[in-house]
Amino acid sequence: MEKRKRVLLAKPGLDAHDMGIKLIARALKDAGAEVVYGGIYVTPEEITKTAVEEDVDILGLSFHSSTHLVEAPKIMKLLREKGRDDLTVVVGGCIPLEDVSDLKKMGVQEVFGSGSPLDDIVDFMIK
Amino acid sequence: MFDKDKIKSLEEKLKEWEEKRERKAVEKLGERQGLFETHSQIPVKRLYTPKDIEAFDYERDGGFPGEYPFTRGIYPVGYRSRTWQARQVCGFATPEETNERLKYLIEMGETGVTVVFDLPTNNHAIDSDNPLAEGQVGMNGLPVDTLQDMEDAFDGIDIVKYPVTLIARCPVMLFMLIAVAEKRGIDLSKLRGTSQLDFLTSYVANKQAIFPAPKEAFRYFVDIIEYLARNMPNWNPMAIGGYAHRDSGTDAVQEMAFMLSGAISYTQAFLDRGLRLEEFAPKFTFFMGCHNNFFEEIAKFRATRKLWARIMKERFGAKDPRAMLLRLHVQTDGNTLTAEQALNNIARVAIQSLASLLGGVSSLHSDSYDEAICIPTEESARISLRTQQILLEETGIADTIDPLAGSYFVEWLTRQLEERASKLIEEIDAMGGMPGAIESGWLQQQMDDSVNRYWDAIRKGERTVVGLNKYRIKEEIRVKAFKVDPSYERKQLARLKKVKTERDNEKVKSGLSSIQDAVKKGENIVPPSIEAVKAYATLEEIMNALFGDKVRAYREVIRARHRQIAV
Repeated sequence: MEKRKRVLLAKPGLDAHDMGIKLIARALKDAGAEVVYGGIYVTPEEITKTAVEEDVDILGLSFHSSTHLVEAPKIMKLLREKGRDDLTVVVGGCIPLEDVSDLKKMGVQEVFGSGSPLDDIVDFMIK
Repeated sequence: MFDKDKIKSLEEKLKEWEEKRERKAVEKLGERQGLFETHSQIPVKRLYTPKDIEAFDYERDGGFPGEYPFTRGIYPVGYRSRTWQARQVCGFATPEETNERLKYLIEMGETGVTVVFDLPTNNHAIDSDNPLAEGQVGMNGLPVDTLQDMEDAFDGIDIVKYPVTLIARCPVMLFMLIAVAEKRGIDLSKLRGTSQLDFLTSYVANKQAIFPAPKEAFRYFVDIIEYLARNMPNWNPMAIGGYAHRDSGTDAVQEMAFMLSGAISYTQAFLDRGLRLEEFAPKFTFFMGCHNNFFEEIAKFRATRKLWARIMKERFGAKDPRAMLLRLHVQTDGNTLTAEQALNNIARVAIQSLASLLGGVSSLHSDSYDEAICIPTEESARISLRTQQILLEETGIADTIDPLAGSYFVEWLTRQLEERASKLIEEIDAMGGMPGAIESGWLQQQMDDSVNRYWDAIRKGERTVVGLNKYRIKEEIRVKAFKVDPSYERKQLARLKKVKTERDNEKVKSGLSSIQDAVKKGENIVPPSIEAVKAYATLEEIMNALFGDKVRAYREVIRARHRQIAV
């Protein structure tokens, strides 16, 4: 049997808009993934620590308040330092189109803006 | 309202119509597929007749505007004598930039100022130089660290002439405004305005980040209300929120029940402290959202007014009608807006604004079409203001009071919402009110279930969101997003550093220890807090003096529970 994919989902930064990330957590679980939910208000250090400890395959980060270009680079750097830059990192939320290429340049594999169909996100992450 | 014999004969005719006409027509023409239910899962029938409201008694259930139970409005002349207030929120970058925008809005004819704070200030009550705040200072609101920021944000603004609304659950913002007033020599009894201060919603909507456990936090808020009741009689101390719940995913019935249960819990706590109902209840204001289900929203505002009046009169024995009035500010619901084909949001906002006004609300913030993408640009903010002006001045909807009263459907739905919300309030009562419902995690679970239900229906296509799960087009977001220049963060940090160097640190220290003394001795925390503010103690220093480690401990409890609930 194929190993189930392990996903860590978390919301860095100080905003509490977690409706989207919680829906994604549930959809991924329904689709058979093992989901570790890191919650809201988590720091880059906490996120990378959990990613390593839980040995996840995929990391999903959700942003609502324009901090993706501040927090994502920190997380990518910490992952490299811990030798986990093989992780698939996916970013979602309120992300202006012009920032997508910046995120991809720093190693983020895919960006799902607001309104992306849930099934597309699930397909990309675990299939 | 209706003659019994008439209803009986109507019943027979209705049966006949259903059999002979309705059934046949459906068989022949078919019927549109879809969820014929409101957002709150109230099934909607094909047709409503007087039969559906046969128990409706005009004087008992409707009444006249300005009279109990206020279903038809809290003012006798509705929008004819007093139109709703168009109140758009403001706050970004630094206190200086926000001050400029506030002055501009006053110049454009605003009659009051409404200030929103950034996430470090509002959700976390930390200073701009806290490492957690990096990248978020001034991004989504006004950053406030010390009294200096509040002085600069309100510089040159007459805070007696223009009532101030503080969109903040953190009480230190209010202490700072009081300090600004005192430093200007303003008699506090002259201050009019509103502080949000509804800390109960913060546990659920903001997932708690600044207060200890609800039952423990009450003590501090009772102090504040007592201080305001005695010193600032013209100030509205609390804007009790339903909006935050709704925007986090609850339905209309839950929004009503959670908001009113909060109000009940506050009322009981203030009465237990020995305050008189007349001292604080007439000063409560309320804040709800307006979602897409048009008639449910109209009925919701009518039912909530009625329910609150009943609660105050029957449960708390209010004698003064002013204690029964639901003074309601509404904001169109942010979570109904889509980033896809964002201009469609103009239509959504117009319809939600219309529902709010047909529901007779006292003041309204219409969202801007780009709010699913960024904070509003000047143009998008103007369009939302113009939407309200079109509704007021071109459509005639404000020419008669409560125009949908007597509609079989609207009256039936009003009753349904009232009954369902009452039931939910009873359930919450049995849990020890809102603090109990929050501390047990029940409320958060209710909210998550509601979110899942709603989005499952969208995912399956049972519920339509135009442009999102139907009529999608492959388009890039072309809306030009407003961005706050990140350099403002550096500017704010420099401002904070300057204050910290120039202030009298001995005074700060003694101010903070006076707060801790008051906490220990059980004395009112407001006067020493205002003194510490005047000594330029920072927001974070004051919050630490007030709550200390209790916040951090409770934050961990909440974070752990939140993770558990989600997966």
